[in-house]
Amino acid sequence: MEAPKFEVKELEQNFYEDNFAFIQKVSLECFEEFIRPEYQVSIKEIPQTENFDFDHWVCSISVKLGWCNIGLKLHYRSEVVRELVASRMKINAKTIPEKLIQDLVQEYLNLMMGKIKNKFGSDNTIVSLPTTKPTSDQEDPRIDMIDRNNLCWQVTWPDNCFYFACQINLETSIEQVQAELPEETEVNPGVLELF
Amino acid sequence: MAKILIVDDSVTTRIDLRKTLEEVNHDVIEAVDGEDAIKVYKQNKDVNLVICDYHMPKLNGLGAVEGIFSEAPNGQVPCLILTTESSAQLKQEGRKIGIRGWIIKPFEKKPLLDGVRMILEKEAKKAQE
Repeated sequence: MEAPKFEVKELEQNFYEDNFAFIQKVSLECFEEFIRPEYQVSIKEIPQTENFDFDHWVCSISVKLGWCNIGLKLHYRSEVVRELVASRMKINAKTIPEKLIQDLVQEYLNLMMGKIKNKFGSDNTIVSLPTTKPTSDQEDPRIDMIDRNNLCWQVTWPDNCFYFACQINLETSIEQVQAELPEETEVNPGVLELF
Repeated sequence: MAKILIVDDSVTTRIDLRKTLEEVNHDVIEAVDGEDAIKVYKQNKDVNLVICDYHMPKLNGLGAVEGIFSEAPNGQVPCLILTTESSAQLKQEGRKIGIRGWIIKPFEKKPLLDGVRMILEKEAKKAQE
């Protein structure tokens, strides 16, 4: 007998909520492991009633898992990341080229996507290389904040005037999730596996 | 100390790797993608170890390593893959072509340097036999 439609919607909603929570956690973990800040970072939810704040640059990465497509975007200002690079590499902020600023953000997104793929099973996936574009040139429509498969949040650090604005889009259906969700495998970053 | 070729399209990762390896006096050379790795190796066949990313423009890490093997005097150079990829299938492919090890990014200094040391010691022992 076919299940009532509202139950399917509830399952689907739970799937998005669980995975959004996981992905937000990943954005913090990767920030701490890779950027290695000397201060506490935290997540700030952006209420659905608020406009999402686009910044000067947007870095994007996507993965096709077969049963689910995932897109991650990170909006940022150069001067914010310049300070992060300077602090991380112990170099003078003024001498940092734009290329290094873009690269730090791209590698951060790359690490995030790696952890997300590890959770969802990563065989036979198609992953894009991260790309960075000026936000104004993208004519990227503001996402519909009431779509249940989109979420925006900020990774912020002290004084709250610096942040990365993250945007995730998960495209799947509960039928696909129930049919194809692979078992999670244990992954140990940084550990050398010798063959 | 060894001559190590690091291959990664991320300049941040190349800087991190160079710093880590130079701290223990290794001689580091760089390539920025898979095709560049083969080109750089052709000009530096005395490389003792290659540390290579998987996802890169032009040619992926396993393709780059196969290209390097085809240029190597005895068809082999010790290679490690350093990547965000944890796919069992890819690791298996790597094993088949002769990759020596796999590290999931982000790397940590100690396990990386321990692994590098172990592989280089093993190579040195082989050369003595």
